[in-house]
Amino acid sequence: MDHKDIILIERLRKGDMQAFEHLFKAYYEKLCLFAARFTDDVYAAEEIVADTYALLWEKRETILINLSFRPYIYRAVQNRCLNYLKHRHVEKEYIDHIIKTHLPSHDYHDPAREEELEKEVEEAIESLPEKCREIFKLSRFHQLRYNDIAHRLGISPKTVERQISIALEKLRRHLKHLVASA
Amino acid sequence: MRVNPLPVVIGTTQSMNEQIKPLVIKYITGDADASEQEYVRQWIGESQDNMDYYISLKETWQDALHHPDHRVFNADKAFERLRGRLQVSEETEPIPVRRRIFFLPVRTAVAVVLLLIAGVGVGLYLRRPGPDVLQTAFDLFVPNGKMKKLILPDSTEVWLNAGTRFSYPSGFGQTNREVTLDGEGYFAVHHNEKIPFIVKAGGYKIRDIGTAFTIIAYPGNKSFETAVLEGKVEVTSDPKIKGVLLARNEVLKVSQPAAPLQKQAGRKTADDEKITPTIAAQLEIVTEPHIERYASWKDNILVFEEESFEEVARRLERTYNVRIRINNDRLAQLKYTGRFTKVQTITEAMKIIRETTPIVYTMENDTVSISLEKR
Repeated sequence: MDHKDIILIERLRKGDMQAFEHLFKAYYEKLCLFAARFTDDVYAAEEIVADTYALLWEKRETILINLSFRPYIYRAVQNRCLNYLKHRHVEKEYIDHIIKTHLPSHDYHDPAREEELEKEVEEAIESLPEKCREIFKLSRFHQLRYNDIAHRLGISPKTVERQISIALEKLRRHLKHLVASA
Repeated sequence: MRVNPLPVVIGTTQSMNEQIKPLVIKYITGDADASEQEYVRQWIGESQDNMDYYISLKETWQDALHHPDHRVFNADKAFERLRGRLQVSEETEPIPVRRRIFFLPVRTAVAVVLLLIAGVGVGLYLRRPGPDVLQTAFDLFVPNGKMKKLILPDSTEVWLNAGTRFSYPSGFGQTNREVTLDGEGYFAVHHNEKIPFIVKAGGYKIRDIGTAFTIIAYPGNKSFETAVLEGKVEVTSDPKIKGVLLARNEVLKVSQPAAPLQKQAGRKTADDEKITPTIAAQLEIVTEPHIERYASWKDNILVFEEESFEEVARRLERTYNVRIRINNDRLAQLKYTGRFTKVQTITEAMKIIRETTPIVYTMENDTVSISLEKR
Protein backbone atom coordinates (compact mmCIF):
# COMPACT_ATOMS: atom_id res chain seq x y z
CA MET A 1 0.00 0.00 0.00
CA ASP A 2 1.16 3.43 -0.92
CA HIS A 3 2.83 5.20 1.95
CA LYS A 4 1.20 8.50 1.12
CA ASP A 5 -2.20 6.84 1.04
CA ILE A 6 -1.68 5.37 4.50
CA ILE A 7 -1.00 8.78 5.94
CA LEU A 8 -3.91 10.39 4.13
CA ILE A 9 -6.34 7.72 5.20
CA GLU A 10 -5.12 7.96 8.76
CA ARG A 11 -5.67 11.71 8.69
CA LEU A 12 -9.07 11.22 7.10
CA ARG A 13 -10.02 8.87 9.92
CA LYS A 14 -9.30 11.66 12.37
CA GLY A 15 -11.60 13.99 10.47
CA ASP A 16 -8.96 15.94 8.60
CA MET A 17 -10.82 17.86 5.90
CA GLN A 18 -7.60 18.64 4.06
CA ALA A 19 -6.72 15.01 3.67
CA PHE A 20 -10.23 14.40 2.43
CA GLU A 21 -9.90 17.23 -0.05
CA HIS A 22 -6.66 15.78 -1.29
CA LEU A 23 -8.15 12.34 -1.81
CA PHE A 24 -11.10 13.90 -3.58
CA LYS A 25 -9.24 16.13 -5.98
CA ALA A 26 -6.63 13.54 -6.86
CA TYR A 27 -9.22 11.17 -8.26
CA TYR A 28 -12.26 13.24 -9.09
CA GLU A 29 -11.85 13.70 -12.81
CA LYS A 30 -10.77 10.14 -13.49
CA LEU A 31 -13.59 8.77 -11.39
CA CYS A 32 -16.14 10.88 -13.23
CA LEU A 33 -14.92 9.61 -16.58
CA PHE A 34 -14.98 6.12 -15.19
CA ALA A 35 -18.51 6.50 -13.86
CA ALA A 36 -19.67 8.09 -17.11
CA ARG A 37 -18.74 4.89 -18.90
CA PHE A 38 -21.51 3.21 -16.97
CA THR A 39 -24.05 5.96 -16.80
CA ASP A 40 -23.39 7.67 -20.10
CA ASP A 41 -24.52 10.80 -18.34
CA VAL A 42 -21.92 13.18 -17.00
CA TYR A 43 -24.21 14.73 -14.42
CA ALA A 44 -25.18 11.38 -13.01
CA ALA A 45 -21.51 10.44 -13.02
CA GLU A 46 -20.57 13.52 -11.02
CA GLU A 47 -23.33 12.88 -8.58
CA ILE A 48 -22.30 9.29 -8.09
CA VAL A 49 -18.72 10.28 -7.39
CA ALA A 50 -19.77 13.01 -4.95
CA ASP A 51 -22.12 10.61 -3.17
CA THR A 52 -19.38 8.04 -2.86
CA TYR A 53 -17.11 10.59 -1.22
CA ALA A 54 -19.87 11.91 1.02
CA LEU A 55 -20.34 8.40 2.36
CA LEU A 56 -16.61 8.01 2.76
CA TRP A 57 -16.57 11.14 4.91
CA GLU A 58 -19.52 10.06 7.00
CA LYS A 59 -18.07 6.64 7.62
CA ARG A 60 -14.48 7.78 7.86
CA GLU A 61 -13.98 6.47 11.38
CA THR A 62 -15.14 2.97 10.70
CA ILE A 63 -14.27 2.45 7.09
CA LEU A 64 -11.90 -0.37 6.24
CA ILE A 65 -9.48 0.19 3.45
CA ASN A 66 -7.30 -2.86 3.15
CA LEU A 67 -6.18 -2.22 -0.35
CA SER A 68 -4.65 1.03 -1.32
CA PHE A 69 -7.07 3.87 -1.77
CA ARG A 70 -7.19 3.72 -5.55
CA PRO A 71 -8.84 0.32 -6.04
CA TYR A 72 -11.00 0.98 -3.03
CA ILE A 73 -12.53 4.16 -4.39
CA TYR A 74 -12.92 2.79 -7.91
CA ARG A 75 -14.72 -0.22 -6.61
CA ALA A 76 -16.98 1.95 -4.48
CA VAL A 77 -17.85 4.12 -7.48
CA GLN A 78 -18.38 1.08 -9.68
CA ASN A 79 -20.80 -0.46 -7.20
CA ARG A 80 -22.71 2.73 -6.96
CA CYS A 81 -22.91 2.96 -10.76
CA LEU A 82 -24.25 -0.55 -11.09
CA ASN A 83 -26.78 0.21 -8.45
CA TYR A 84 -27.82 3.33 -10.32
CA LEU A 85 -28.20 1.41 -13.57
CA LYS A 86 -30.21 -1.33 -11.94
CA HIS A 87 -32.85 1.24 -11.26
CA ARG A 88 -32.81 2.59 -14.74
CA HIS A 89 -33.02 -0.42 -17.05
CA VAL A 90 -30.92 1.22 -19.68
CA GLU A 91 -28.97 -0.68 -22.24
CA LYS A 92 -28.94 -3.77 -20.17
CA GLU A 93 -26.75 -5.54 -22.68
CA TYR A 94 -23.84 -3.24 -22.11
CA ILE A 95 -24.17 -3.35 -18.34
CA ASP A 96 -24.21 -7.12 -18.41
CA HIS A 97 -21.13 -6.94 -20.50
CA ILE A 98 -19.33 -4.59 -18.10
CA ILE A 99 -20.20 -6.75 -15.15
CA LYS A 100 -19.23 -9.93 -16.92
CA THR A 101 -15.89 -8.75 -18.20
CA HIS A 102 -15.07 -6.31 -15.44
CA LEU A 103 -14.09 -4.20 -18.31
CA PRO A 104 -13.12 -1.07 -16.45
CA SER A 105 -11.30 -2.90 -13.70
CA HIS A 106 -8.18 -3.51 -15.68
CA ASP A 107 -7.58 0.05 -16.61
CA TYR A 108 -7.77 1.60 -13.22
CA HIS A 109 -4.64 0.08 -11.84
CA ASP A 110 -2.47 1.81 -14.31
CA PRO A 111 -2.55 5.56 -14.60
CA ALA A 112 0.01 5.45 -17.37
CA ARG A 113 -2.32 3.37 -19.46
CA GLU A 114 -5.15 5.78 -18.85
CA GLU A 115 -3.07 8.63 -20.10
CA GLU A 116 -2.00 6.69 -23.10
CA LEU A 117 -5.57 5.77 -23.88
CA GLU A 118 -6.66 9.33 -23.51
CA LYS A 119 -3.99 10.47 -25.90
CA GLU A 120 -4.87 7.90 -28.50
CA VAL A 121 -8.55 8.72 -28.35
CA GLU A 122 -7.74 12.37 -28.68
CA GLU A 123 -5.60 11.72 -31.72
CA ALA A 124 -8.22 9.49 -33.26
CA ILE A 125 -10.88 12.14 -32.90
CA GLU A 126 -8.61 14.83 -34.28
CA SER A 127 -7.89 12.66 -37.31
CA LEU A 128 -11.53 12.63 -38.35
CA PRO A 129 -12.55 14.79 -41.32
CA GLU A 130 -13.46 18.24 -40.11
CA LYS A 131 -17.23 18.15 -40.63
CA CYS A 132 -17.42 14.67 -39.27
CA ARG A 133 -15.42 15.64 -36.20
CA GLU A 134 -17.59 18.63 -35.49
CA ILE A 135 -20.78 16.63 -35.69
CA PHE A 136 -19.37 13.86 -33.59
CA LYS A 137 -18.28 16.28 -30.88
CA LEU A 138 -21.65 17.98 -30.78
CA SER A 139 -23.31 14.66 -30.31
CA ARG A 140 -20.87 13.07 -27.90
CA PHE A 141 -19.73 15.99 -25.79
CA HIS A 142 -22.62 18.35 -25.96
CA GLN A 143 -25.17 15.59 -25.90
CA LEU A 144 -27.19 17.15 -28.67
CA ARG A 145 -29.73 15.11 -30.58
CA TYR A 146 -29.42 14.59 -34.32
CA ASN A 147 -32.21 17.06 -35.00
CA ASP A 148 -30.58 19.75 -32.85
CA ILE A 149 -27.25 19.29 -34.55
CA ALA A 150 -28.91 19.37 -37.96
CA HIS A 151 -30.69 22.55 -37.03
CA ARG A 152 -27.58 24.16 -35.66
CA LEU A 153 -25.44 23.35 -38.68
CA GLY A 154 -28.16 23.81 -41.26
CA ILE A 155 -27.94 20.28 -42.60
CA SER A 156 -30.38 17.40 -42.71
CA PRO A 157 -30.76 14.96 -39.81
CA LYS A 158 -29.92 12.19 -42.23
CA THR A 159 -26.54 13.78 -42.89
CA VAL A 160 -25.90 13.99 -39.17
CA GLU A 161 -26.75 10.36 -38.80
CA ARG A 162 -24.45 9.38 -41.62
CA GLN A 163 -21.57 11.48 -40.33
CA ILE A 164 -21.83 10.05 -36.83
CA SER A 165 -21.92 6.60 -38.25
CA ILE A 166 -18.78 7.34 -40.23
CA ALA A 167 -17.09 8.87 -37.20
CA LEU A 168 -17.81 5.91 -34.99
CA GLU A 169 -16.72 3.41 -37.56
CA LYS A 170 -13.47 5.26 -38.21
CA LEU A 171 -12.78 5.61 -34.51
CA ARG A 172 -13.58 2.00 -33.94
CA ARG A 173 -11.09 0.91 -36.50
CA HIS A 174 -8.55 3.36 -35.21
CA LEU A 175 -8.98 2.28 -31.63
CA LYS A 176 -9.54 -1.37 -32.27
CA HIS A 177 -6.58 -2.41 -30.15
CA LEU A 178 -7.98 -0.48 -27.20
CA VAL A 179 -11.40 -1.98 -27.23
CA ALA A 180 -10.80 -4.89 -25.00
CA SER A 181 -13.16 -7.65 -25.84
CA ALA A 182 -14.65 -7.03 -29.23
CA MET B 1 -38.85 -37.91 -47.93
CA ARG B 2 -37.66 -34.91 -46.14
CA VAL B 3 -38.45 -31.36 -46.97
CA ASN B 4 -35.31 -29.42 -47.38
CA PRO B 5 -34.85 -26.95 -44.63
CA LEU B 6 -35.09 -23.33 -45.63
CA PRO B 7 -31.82 -22.02 -46.87
CA VAL B 8 -29.84 -20.40 -44.14
CA VAL B 9 -28.07 -17.15 -44.82
CA ILE B 10 -24.47 -17.65 -43.89
CA GLY B 11 -21.44 -15.46 -43.62
CA THR B 12 -22.77 -12.05 -44.51
CA THR B 13 -22.37 -10.61 -41.02
CA GLN B 14 -20.42 -7.74 -42.46
CA SER B 15 -23.15 -6.65 -44.86
CA MET B 16 -25.83 -7.31 -42.26
CA ASN B 17 -23.95 -5.02 -39.92
CA GLU B 18 -23.80 -2.38 -42.58
CA GLN B 19 -27.55 -2.43 -42.87
CA ILE B 20 -28.30 -2.22 -39.20
CA LYS B 21 -25.38 -0.02 -38.25
CA PRO B 22 -27.22 3.32 -38.45
CA LEU B 23 -29.88 1.97 -36.14
CA VAL B 24 -27.39 0.60 -33.63
CA ILE B 25 -25.65 3.95 -33.59
CA LYS B 26 -28.89 5.79 -33.10
CA TYR B 27 -29.55 3.44 -30.23
CA ILE B 28 -26.20 4.24 -28.66
CA THR B 29 -26.41 7.97 -29.15
CA GLY B 30 -29.89 8.03 -27.70
CA ASP B 31 -31.65 9.09 -30.87
CA ALA B 32 -33.62 5.93 -31.46
CA ASP B 33 -37.33 5.96 -30.76
CA ALA B 34 -39.07 3.25 -28.76
CA SER B 35 -39.72 0.84 -31.61
CA GLU B 36 -36.21 1.28 -32.98
CA GLN B 37 -34.80 0.60 -29.52
CA GLU B 38 -36.83 -2.56 -29.26
CA TYR B 39 -35.68 -3.69 -32.68
CA VAL B 40 -32.01 -3.10 -31.89
CA ARG B 41 -32.27 -4.85 -28.54
CA GLN B 42 -33.66 -7.87 -30.23
CA TRP B 43 -31.01 -7.82 -32.89
CA ILE B 44 -28.25 -7.60 -30.25
CA GLY B 45 -29.68 -10.61 -28.45
CA GLU B 46 -29.71 -12.72 -31.61
CA SER B 47 -26.07 -13.68 -31.68
CA GLN B 48 -22.73 -13.23 -30.00
CA ASP B 49 -21.46 -11.55 -33.15
CA ASN B 50 -24.17 -8.97 -32.99
CA MET B 51 -23.45 -8.41 -29.33
CA ASP B 52 -19.75 -7.96 -30.04
CA TYR B 53 -20.42 -5.54 -32.81
CA TYR B 54 -22.69 -3.48 -30.59
CA ILE B 55 -20.22 -3.52 -27.73
CA SER B 56 -17.33 -2.41 -29.88
CA LEU B 57 -19.33 0.58 -31.09
CA LYS B 58 -20.57 1.35 -27.65
CA GLU B 59 -17.07 1.29 -26.22
CA THR B 60 -15.74 3.52 -28.91
CA TRP B 61 -18.47 5.92 -28.02
CA GLN B 62 -17.62 5.66 -24.34
CA ASP B 63 -13.89 5.90 -24.89
CA ALA B 64 -14.41 9.17 -26.64
CA LEU B 65 -15.24 10.57 -23.22
CA HIS B 66 -11.53 10.77 -22.57
CA HIS B 67 -11.24 13.47 -25.10
CA PRO B 68 -9.93 16.66 -23.48
CA ASP B 69 -12.70 18.65 -25.10
CA HIS B 70 -14.83 17.09 -22.54
CA ARG B 71 -13.09 18.45 -19.48
CA VAL B 72 -16.38 19.32 -17.94
CA PHE B 73 -15.39 17.96 -14.59
CA ASN B 74 -14.13 20.64 -12.25
CA ALA B 75 -12.68 19.04 -9.13
CA ASP B 76 -12.33 22.34 -7.25
CA LYS B 77 -15.92 23.36 -7.76
CA ALA B 78 -17.18 19.88 -7.10
CA PHE B 79 -15.28 19.77 -3.85
CA GLU B 80 -16.69 23.08 -2.69
CA ARG B 81 -20.17 21.79 -3.40
CA LEU B 82 -19.48 18.57 -1.56
CA ARG B 83 -17.95 20.34 1.42
CA GLY B 84 -20.91 22.68 1.62
CA ARG B 85 -23.14 19.66 1.71
CA LEU B 86 -21.15 17.94 4.42
CA GLN B 87 -20.90 21.08 6.49
CA VAL B 88 -24.63 21.35 6.77
CA SER B 89 -24.63 18.29 8.97
CA GLU B 90 -21.45 19.15 10.82
CA GLU B 91 -21.50 22.85 11.56
CA THR B 92 -22.53 24.46 14.80
CA GLU B 93 -22.21 21.25 16.75
CA PRO B 94 -21.13 22.36 20.18
CA ILE B 95 -17.48 21.65 20.62
CA PRO B 96 -16.39 19.58 23.59
CA VAL B 97 -15.59 21.79 26.53
CA ARG B 98 -12.00 22.61 27.05
CA ARG B 99 -12.37 25.30 29.56
CA ARG B 100 -9.61 27.72 29.97
CA ILE B 101 -9.07 31.31 30.75
CA PHE B 102 -6.12 33.54 30.57
CA PHE B 103 -5.60 37.17 30.09
CA LEU B 104 -4.21 38.61 27.00
CA PRO B 105 -0.77 40.08 27.50
CA VAL B 106 -0.89 43.61 28.76
CA ARG B 107 -2.50 45.38 25.93
CA THR B 108 0.11 45.66 23.30
CA ALA B 109 0.48 49.16 22.17
CA VAL B 110 -2.34 49.79 19.81
CA ALA B 111 -1.68 52.54 17.40
CA VAL B 112 -4.75 54.61 17.25
CA VAL B 113 -5.26 56.94 14.44
CA LEU B 114 -8.10 59.21 15.05
CA LEU B 115 -9.03 60.20 11.63
CA LEU B 116 -11.63 62.79 12.12
CA ILE B 117 -14.61 63.47 14.19
CA ALA B 118 -16.94 65.53 12.20
CA GLY B 119 -17.64 66.68 8.75
CA VAL B 120 -17.82 65.51 5.27
CA GLY B 121 -14.11 64.83 4.88
CA VAL B 122 -13.87 61.17 4.04
CA GLY B 123 -17.44 61.08 3.00
CA LEU B 124 -18.87 58.65 5.44
CA TYR B 125 -22.47 59.47 5.89
CA LEU B 126 -25.12 57.61 7.69
CA ARG B 127 -27.32 56.71 4.89
CA ARG B 128 -29.45 53.68 4.38
CA PRO B 129 -28.84 52.10 1.00
CA GLY B 130 -31.77 52.54 -1.32
CA PRO B 131 -34.37 49.84 -1.71
CA ASP B 132 -33.16 46.77 -3.51
CA VAL B 133 -34.30 46.39 -7.04
CA LEU B 134 -32.94 42.89 -7.26
CA GLN B 135 -34.93 39.99 -6.06
CA THR B 136 -33.66 38.17 -3.01
CA ALA B 137 -32.51 34.68 -3.91
CA PHE B 138 -31.16 33.59 -0.57
CA ASP B 139 -32.07 34.75 2.91
CA LEU B 140 -30.91 33.20 6.14
CA PHE B 141 -31.22 34.05 9.80
CA VAL B 142 -28.83 32.47 12.25
CA PRO B 143 -30.51 32.49 15.67
CA ASN B 144 -28.76 33.24 18.92
CA GLY B 145 -26.72 30.35 20.23
CA LYS B 146 -25.84 29.20 16.71
CA MET B 147 -23.20 29.84 14.15
CA LYS B 148 -23.14 28.94 10.51
CA LYS B 149 -20.65 28.54 7.74
CA LEU B 150 -21.68 28.93 4.12
CA ILE B 151 -19.98 28.51 0.83
CA LEU B 152 -21.49 30.87 -1.69
CA PRO B 153 -21.93 30.00 -5.36
CA ASP B 154 -18.76 31.95 -6.19
CA SER B 155 -16.77 29.85 -3.68
CA THR B 156 -16.53 32.69 -1.17
CA GLU B 157 -16.65 31.37 2.37
CA VAL B 158 -18.78 33.08 4.95
CA TRP B 159 -19.10 32.45 8.66
CA LEU B 160 -22.16 33.96 10.27
CA ASN B 161 -22.22 34.59 13.98
CA ALA B 162 -25.23 34.23 16.24
CA GLY B 163 -28.15 36.57 15.68
CA THR B 164 -27.23 37.44 12.11
CA ARG B 165 -29.29 37.87 8.99
CA PHE B 166 -27.65 37.31 5.65
CA SER B 167 -29.03 37.50 2.14
CA TYR B 168 -28.10 37.88 -1.48
CA PRO B 169 -30.09 38.64 -4.62
CA SER B 170 -30.68 36.53 -7.67
CA GLY B 171 -27.91 36.65 -10.21
CA PHE B 172 -25.34 36.43 -7.44
CA GLY B 173 -22.07 35.26 -8.88
CA GLN B 174 -23.14 36.00 -12.44
CA THR B 175 -24.17 39.62 -12.64
CA ASN B 176 -23.37 40.78 -9.12
CA ARG B 177 -21.75 39.74 -5.89
CA GLU B 178 -23.61 41.91 -3.43
CA VAL B 179 -24.62 40.46 -0.12
CA THR B 180 -26.44 42.03 2.81
CA LEU B 181 -25.43 41.44 6.39
CA ASP B 182 -27.18 42.46 9.61
CA GLY B 183 -25.03 41.12 12.36
CA GLU B 184 -21.57 39.66 12.41
CA GLY B 185 -19.81 37.84 9.65
CA TYR B 186 -16.41 36.70 8.54
CA PHE B 187 -15.75 36.68 4.80
CA ALA B 188 -13.00 34.87 2.95
CA VAL B 189 -13.67 36.24 -0.49
CA HIS B 190 -12.93 34.34 -3.63
CA HIS B 191 -11.36 37.02 -5.73
CA ASN B 192 -12.91 37.90 -9.06
CA GLU B 193 -11.51 40.83 -10.95
CA LYS B 194 -14.66 41.30 -13.01
CA ILE B 195 -17.34 41.24 -10.34
CA PRO B 196 -16.40 42.95 -7.09
CA PHE B 197 -17.61 41.40 -3.86
CA ILE B 198 -19.63 43.90 -1.87
CA VAL B 199 -21.15 43.57 1.58
CA LYS B 200 -23.89 45.94 2.57
CA ALA B 201 -23.94 46.29 6.33
CA GLY B 202 -24.92 48.96 8.81
CA GLY B 203 -25.53 51.50 6.09
CA TYR B 204 -22.12 50.99 4.52
CA LYS B 205 -20.76 49.12 1.60
CA ILE B 206 -17.61 47.12 2.10
CA ARG B 207 -15.88 46.26 -1.12
CA ASP B 208 -13.32 43.51 -1.11
CA ILE B 209 -10.00 43.85 -2.84
CA GLY B 210 -8.79 40.25 -2.45
CA THR B 211 -9.49 39.67 1.13
CA ALA B 212 -10.56 38.12 4.38
CA PHE B 213 -12.40 40.45 6.72
CA THR B 214 -15.00 40.60 9.44
CA ILE B 215 -17.89 42.94 9.91
CA ILE B 216 -19.84 43.68 13.07
CA ALA B 217 -23.04 45.52 12.33
CA TYR B 218 -25.85 44.27 14.52
CA PRO B 219 -29.00 46.25 13.97
CA GLY B 220 -29.27 47.36 17.61
CA ASN B 221 -25.62 48.23 17.98
CA LYS B 222 -24.44 51.76 18.24
CA SER B 223 -21.30 50.95 16.35
CA PHE B 224 -20.11 49.45 13.15
CA GLU B 225 -16.76 47.72 12.86
CA THR B 226 -14.88 46.04 10.13
CA ALA B 227 -11.51 44.34 10.55
CA VAL B 228 -9.21 43.24 7.76
CA LEU B 229 -7.35 39.97 8.27
CA GLU B 230 -5.94 39.75 4.78
CA GLY B 231 -5.71 41.98 1.77
CA LYS B 232 -7.58 45.25 1.51
CA VAL B 233 -11.10 46.56 1.60
CA GLU B 234 -12.79 49.78 0.73
CA VAL B 235 -15.57 51.08 2.93
CA THR B 236 -18.01 53.59 1.60
CA SER B 237 -21.47 54.80 2.32
CA ASP B 238 -22.09 56.24 -1.06
CA PRO B 239 -20.80 54.73 -4.26
CA LYS B 240 -20.26 58.19 -5.70
CA ILE B 241 -17.76 59.11 -3.03
CA LYS B 242 -14.38 57.55 -2.67
CA GLY B 243 -14.34 55.47 0.46
CA VAL B 244 -11.85 54.62 3.16
CA LEU B 245 -9.21 52.07 2.29
CA LEU B 246 -8.29 49.58 4.96
CA ALA B 247 -5.27 47.32 4.87
CA ARG B 248 -4.38 44.18 6.73
CA ASN B 249 -4.55 44.45 10.54
CA GLU B 250 -6.62 47.60 10.37
CA VAL B 251 -9.96 48.04 12.00
CA LEU B 252 -12.46 50.69 11.13
CA LYS B 253 -14.73 51.63 14.00
CA VAL B 254 -17.66 53.90 13.48
CA SER B 255 -19.84 54.95 16.33
CA GLN B 256 -23.09 56.39 15.34
CA PRO B 257 -24.86 58.96 17.41
CA ALA B 258 -27.18 56.65 19.26
CA ALA B 259 -30.34 57.99 20.77
CA PRO B 260 -30.59 55.66 23.77
CA LEU B 261 -27.26 56.81 25.13
CA GLN B 262 -28.36 60.40 25.04
CA LYS B 263 -31.55 59.55 26.80
CA GLN B 264 -29.62 57.79 29.47
CA ALA B 265 -27.56 60.89 29.99
CA GLY B 266 -30.75 62.80 30.44
CA ARG B 267 -30.06 65.06 27.55
CA LYS B 268 -33.20 64.63 25.62
CA THR B 269 -33.36 67.48 23.20
CA ALA B 270 -35.23 68.27 20.07
CA ASP B 271 -32.23 67.08 18.11
CA ASP B 272 -33.02 63.52 19.09
CA GLU B 273 -36.09 63.53 16.97
CA LYS B 274 -34.34 64.36 13.76
CA ILE B 275 -31.23 62.36 13.29
CA THR B 276 -30.76 63.41 9.76
CA PRO B 277 -28.90 61.23 7.31
CA THR B 278 -26.11 63.77 7.11
CA ILE B 279 -25.04 63.63 10.72
CA ALA B 280 -21.43 62.64 10.53
CA ALA B 281 -20.24 59.56 12.25
CA GLN B 282 -17.34 59.34 14.58
CA LEU B 283 -14.77 57.28 12.90
CA GLU B 284 -11.41 55.84 13.79
CA ILE B 285 -8.99 53.47 12.19
CA VAL B 286 -7.04 51.32 14.59
CA THR B 287 -4.10 49.09 13.89
CA GLU B 288 -4.72 45.88 15.75
CA PRO B 289 -1.77 43.54 16.14
CA HIS B 290 -4.01 40.71 17.34
CA ILE B 291 -6.35 40.94 14.41
CA GLU B 292 -7.27 37.26 14.71
CA ARG B 293 -9.40 38.03 17.71
CA TYR B 294 -11.94 39.56 15.38
CA ALA B 295 -12.51 36.23 13.72
CA SER B 296 -11.86 33.88 16.61
CA TRP B 297 -15.57 33.42 17.25
CA LYS B 298 -15.78 31.22 14.22
CA ASP B 299 -13.56 28.75 16.06
CA ASN B 300 -15.68 29.04 19.20
CA ILE B 301 -13.26 31.35 20.95
CA LEU B 302 -14.51 34.58 22.44
CA VAL B 303 -11.95 37.28 23.04
CA PHE B 304 -12.62 40.47 24.95
CA GLU B 305 -10.08 43.18 25.22
CA GLU B 306 -10.93 46.12 27.45
CA GLU B 307 -14.54 45.91 26.46
CA SER B 308 -17.31 47.30 28.57
CA PHE B 309 -19.35 44.80 30.47
CA GLU B 310 -22.33 45.90 28.49
CA GLU B 311 -20.65 44.87 25.25
CA VAL B 312 -19.54 41.61 26.79
CA ALA B 313 -23.08 40.89 27.93
CA ARG B 314 -24.45 41.58 24.44
CA ARG B 315 -22.07 39.11 22.96
CA LEU B 316 -22.72 36.44 25.56
CA GLU B 317 -26.44 36.87 24.95
CA ARG B 318 -26.01 36.05 21.31
CA THR B 319 -23.52 33.28 21.78
CA TYR B 320 -25.47 31.39 24.43
CA ASN B 321 -28.97 32.48 23.52
CA VAL B 322 -29.76 33.99 26.90
CA ARG B 323 -30.81 37.37 28.26
CA ILE B 324 -28.44 39.22 30.53
CA ARG B 325 -29.48 41.99 32.90
CA ILE B 326 -26.81 44.20 34.37
CA ASN B 327 -28.04 45.75 37.56
CA ASN B 328 -25.40 48.43 38.18
CA ASP B 329 -24.42 51.25 35.86
CA ARG B 330 -20.91 51.02 37.23
CA LEU B 331 -20.74 47.38 36.27
CA ALA B 332 -22.02 48.13 32.80
CA GLN B 333 -19.10 50.49 32.27
CA LEU B 334 -16.49 48.18 33.76
CA LYS B 335 -13.86 47.09 31.28
CA TYR B 336 -13.38 43.40 30.87
CA THR B 337 -10.53 41.50 29.28
CA GLY B 338 -10.60 37.76 28.89
CA ARG B 339 -10.72 34.86 26.56
CA PHE B 340 -13.14 31.96 26.41
CA THR B 341 -11.82 29.00 24.51
CA LYS B 342 -14.61 26.70 23.47
CA VAL B 343 -16.71 27.38 26.51
CA GLN B 344 -19.96 25.65 25.92
CA THR B 345 -22.52 27.03 28.33
CA ILE B 346 -23.42 30.35 29.90
CA THR B 347 -23.01 28.75 33.35
CA GLU B 348 -19.38 28.08 32.65
CA ALA B 349 -18.85 31.46 31.11
CA MET B 350 -20.29 33.14 34.20
CA LYS B 351 -18.05 31.09 36.48
CA ILE B 352 -15.04 32.18 34.49
CA ILE B 353 -15.99 35.83 34.66
CA ARG B 354 -16.52 35.52 38.37
CA GLU B 355 -13.01 34.23 38.88
CA THR B 356 -11.61 37.63 38.01
CA THR B 357 -14.45 40.07 38.44
CA PRO B 358 -16.29 40.98 41.63
CA ILE B 359 -19.77 40.01 40.52
CA VAL B 360 -22.69 38.06 41.85
CA TYR B 361 -25.33 36.64 39.56
CA THR B 362 -28.51 34.66 39.54
CA MET B 363 -29.83 32.55 36.74
CA GLU B 364 -33.44 31.85 36.08
CA ASN B 365 -34.59 30.13 32.95
CA ASP B 366 -32.77 31.96 30.23
CA THR B 367 -32.18 35.16 32.09
CA VAL B 368 -29.00 36.02 33.92
CA SER B 369 -28.98 38.86 36.42
CA ILE B 370 -25.61 40.35 37.28
CA SER B 371 -24.70 42.77 40.06
CA LEU B 372 -21.49 44.07 41.51
CA GLU B 373 -20.43 42.23 44.59
CA LYS B 374 -20.86 44.24 47.75
CA ARG B 375 -17.72 44.54 49.74
